[in-house]
Amino acid sequence: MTTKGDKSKLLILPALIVVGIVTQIPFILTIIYSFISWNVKRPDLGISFAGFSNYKKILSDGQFYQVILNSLLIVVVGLTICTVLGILFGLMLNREFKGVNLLRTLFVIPYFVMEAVVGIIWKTLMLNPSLGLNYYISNALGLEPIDFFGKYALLTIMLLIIWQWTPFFFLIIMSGLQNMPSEILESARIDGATGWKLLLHIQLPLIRDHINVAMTLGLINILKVFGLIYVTTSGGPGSSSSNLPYYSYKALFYDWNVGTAAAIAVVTVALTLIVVQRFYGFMNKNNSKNI
Amino acid sequence: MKKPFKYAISLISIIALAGTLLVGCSGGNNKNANEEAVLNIATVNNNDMVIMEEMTSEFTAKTGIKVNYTVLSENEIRSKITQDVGLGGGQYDLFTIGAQDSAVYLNNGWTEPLDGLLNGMSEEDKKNYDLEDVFPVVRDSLSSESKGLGALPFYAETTLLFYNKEIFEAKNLTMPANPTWEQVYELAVAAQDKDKGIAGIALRGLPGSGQNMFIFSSIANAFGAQYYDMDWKATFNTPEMKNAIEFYKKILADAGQAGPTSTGYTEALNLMSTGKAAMWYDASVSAGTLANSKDSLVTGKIGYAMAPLQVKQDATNTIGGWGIAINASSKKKEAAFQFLTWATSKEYINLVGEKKGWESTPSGTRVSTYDNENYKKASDFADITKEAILKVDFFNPSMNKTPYTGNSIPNMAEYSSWGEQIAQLLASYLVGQKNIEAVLEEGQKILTDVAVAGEYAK
Amino acid sequence: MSRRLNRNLLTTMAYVIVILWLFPMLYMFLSSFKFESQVAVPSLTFTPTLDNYRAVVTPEFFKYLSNSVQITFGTVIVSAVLGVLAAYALVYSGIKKANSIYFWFITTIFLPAVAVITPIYILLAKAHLLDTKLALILLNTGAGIPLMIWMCTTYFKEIPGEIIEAATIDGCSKAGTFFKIMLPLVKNGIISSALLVFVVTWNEFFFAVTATATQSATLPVYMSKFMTQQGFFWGKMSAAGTMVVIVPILIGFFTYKSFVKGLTAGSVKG
Repeated sequence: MTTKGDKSKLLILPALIVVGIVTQIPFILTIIYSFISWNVKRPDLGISFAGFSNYKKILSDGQFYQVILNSLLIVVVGLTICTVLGILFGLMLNREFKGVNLLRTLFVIPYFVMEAVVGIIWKTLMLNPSLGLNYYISNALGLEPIDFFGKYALLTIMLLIIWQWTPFFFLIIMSGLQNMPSEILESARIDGATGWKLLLHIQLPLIRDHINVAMTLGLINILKVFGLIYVTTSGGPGSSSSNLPYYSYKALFYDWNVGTAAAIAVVTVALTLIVVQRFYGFMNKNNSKNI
Repeated sequence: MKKPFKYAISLISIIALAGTLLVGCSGGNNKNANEEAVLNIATVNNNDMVIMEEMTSEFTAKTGIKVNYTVLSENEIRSKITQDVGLGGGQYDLFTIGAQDSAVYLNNGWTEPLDGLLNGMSEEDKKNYDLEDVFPVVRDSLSSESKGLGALPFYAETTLLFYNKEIFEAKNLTMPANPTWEQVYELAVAAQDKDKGIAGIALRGLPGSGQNMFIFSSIANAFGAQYYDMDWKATFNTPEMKNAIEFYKKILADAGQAGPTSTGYTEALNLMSTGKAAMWYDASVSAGTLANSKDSLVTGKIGYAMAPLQVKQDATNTIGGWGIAINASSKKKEAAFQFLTWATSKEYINLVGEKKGWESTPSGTRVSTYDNENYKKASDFADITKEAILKVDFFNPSMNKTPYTGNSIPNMAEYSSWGEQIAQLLASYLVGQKNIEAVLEEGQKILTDVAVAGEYAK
Repeated sequence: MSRRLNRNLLTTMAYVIVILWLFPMLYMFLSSFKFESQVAVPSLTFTPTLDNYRAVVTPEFFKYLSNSVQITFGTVIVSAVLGVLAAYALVYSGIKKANSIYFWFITTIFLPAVAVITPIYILLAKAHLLDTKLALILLNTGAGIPLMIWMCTTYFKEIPGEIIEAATIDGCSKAGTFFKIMLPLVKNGIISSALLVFVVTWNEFFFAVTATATQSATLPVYMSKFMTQQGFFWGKMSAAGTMVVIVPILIGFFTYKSFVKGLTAGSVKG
């Protein structure tokens, strides 16, 4: 079937070229840019080689560490809660009752809604402390409205991420539960496994691969969250709800500092790779099977 | 046997490429169409600019020059224009420019100096245009020291204190004509009504170099604080700045709107126009919206006062607004200048007054507008606005001399960067994430770094 | 007895939770039919109006819509064609380092967009390609192709070897085998992958907001503009939001099962 001089190999070239042009070449340039000093708004200062000064600058900035911490928190908290809720909702809706199919279908909606809409709807209609539902509910309860996007900005961002991504986790985990061979469950029941035992020892191990997929894709996407932050808090107050993507966006489009923006991007990639690697290490430890 | 694959590859690559090119080109740049008579202009999406777009047919009828509009939000336009001129996109012949950017862009060589062009006009044109009629302070706000005028003003604004007369009467309060911030604070505390969700005062708290900073810096100026001294040494850790920041938090916490840091211009406008705020300190153009918008619930109930004073006893109001500038790399400067002088002329103001109603004319730029009976009749805030604009001290925004000009928004290339950072600092102070010492220290560092990196400090 | 009670309780809970979870979207939908002056007040009884929809459906909105449609279709077509070919080559062409190349494609999915935006932005500006649909299609394709390859490789691998051998013995050329035997078998998989690319591109925000201004800005950018809107706009915002999310939601309704399969098939066995 597979011959050596096969011309059909060339079919891979267009894809390689396009993906290379969009991802690899720019990334190499990003690395180069991270060593120059270039403020677009000060053409009189010119463009010059800056050595490691961009890196020194960002690494000596307390804000940067807060942003890294935020990013990690968002990922860890988001992934954990999404997974737990995804499993719970999966179990809840993996039963037969009237309308269950409709509920399953409806529940996936948030995953398909664009970040920009999620952000503005929550920010205005739902959580605005003067005119939104937040005000009316707090008022009815005799409480001060909660300043979600001010005092609890990072938590609120996490809340929105969880709101949007839990349905995705649910989708994947649900399909795992549905594909579970019923004989296994039956025989486990006959063996006397019920409730938690059944869940922990039989069901969860059987859908481990699905959880794995959900978490991997969840990780990729939660690391990248940008639009939500852009339309709700703009990373503030301070940098309390900034994550790495938003922070480097700002370095470019507010500061117009090409070198710094590139340096932040390089560090972001490095950290992303570390997180992804750690994540795989963690998953593999809990996963004896090879992919 | 292998041939079909070669074909398949080439065919598919061609289709893919052609497809993307076609889709990409259709409706992309229409640069080639009639190079001579088409101007491209990027404008901010304020109401006045929307009217300008409507009125442009008159200009085209008169001169045969067509104008293409690109309408952007305020945040976008800053970044798009920086991109266009700074990175050499060169898409626009003209663009609207905020007062604080005008001098910077001109000094960078991004916009065309206008003094020469204005002097080159025929005597008759000069007389019709009447540059002297434009408020001097407005001209100053669009000029650089070394290169003169960089833009002509389309509309200009200052800051006023608005108050809801109905609420004030119900609570038996009176507004002094020239209040101090202390007085405003007391009025705000007295006027608020938590049960009804009415804030004593609405003040921008949404972090942003053009959001909370526009208002906060004006407060800071009133308290005698400034960002740099004459040696470009940062002065963010001074007692004056500390007072200003602490007052800003105090008034918002004790009598301000709920969720202070999510309230920007729009949100504050909505609070004021729905009667959910007793006072509001913000841009003077809002007077027109409060008085005339069909969505406003407070028509006829708004009173006006001068920008509050404190340590500084005079002129704490700021100048802002939008001018129009010519891109230095434009190839159609003559036509662009023709449009520029049309859109900022008396003739244009009259045209809008007659066609759209006098309350819709672009305001704040020309003395003659404020002498116009029609305009005065349509706007009960005309006199106080004029008085306020005449008062603005553009070169000495604070108590002591500053190395920068520009009132609450200093004219510095790096302002969009440090303004944003200070804005965020203030917000984290407002919500209690940082204490005052940390804010002063971090702010001082931000400003010092800018002075060093920008090679200002000697 | 208690089991049954339990079951009913669980069912009720399921309904309550799902409805609460969807409430923001429901509330947006309802608000889109309220007059601007009534939007803020949470009441369920109101006289519905189409005013907001009328106010939102303007030539401007259509421009964003048409940009979104063109960019999304362009991206889906290019990604699907190039992705399917690459997946085929990876599985059947005996490329030496097929596995490494495959993983290289997958790792690009992990690359955050900010890693490349600075040079891309500068290059696009220099090439006068900022704010063009071509630029956005190119950028989105860079993300779409790896996704297609990921999902489609598994579909190709699932084709039983005997079928292909049989076709080759019958004298079918490689191209013939590809078009006549394989494509029909993986067709559904390709369609569901393409639809996923469709949804991702339709909702894409980062490149849309950084690399466009007005000429080629997409619906997510349009929605984000409500952030800085002046005056009263919640009703209009809700109307626009409702219209903008309906396409991906409908696609989601009809295809979620198949693309869950596509996403999980590769790494899930049994």
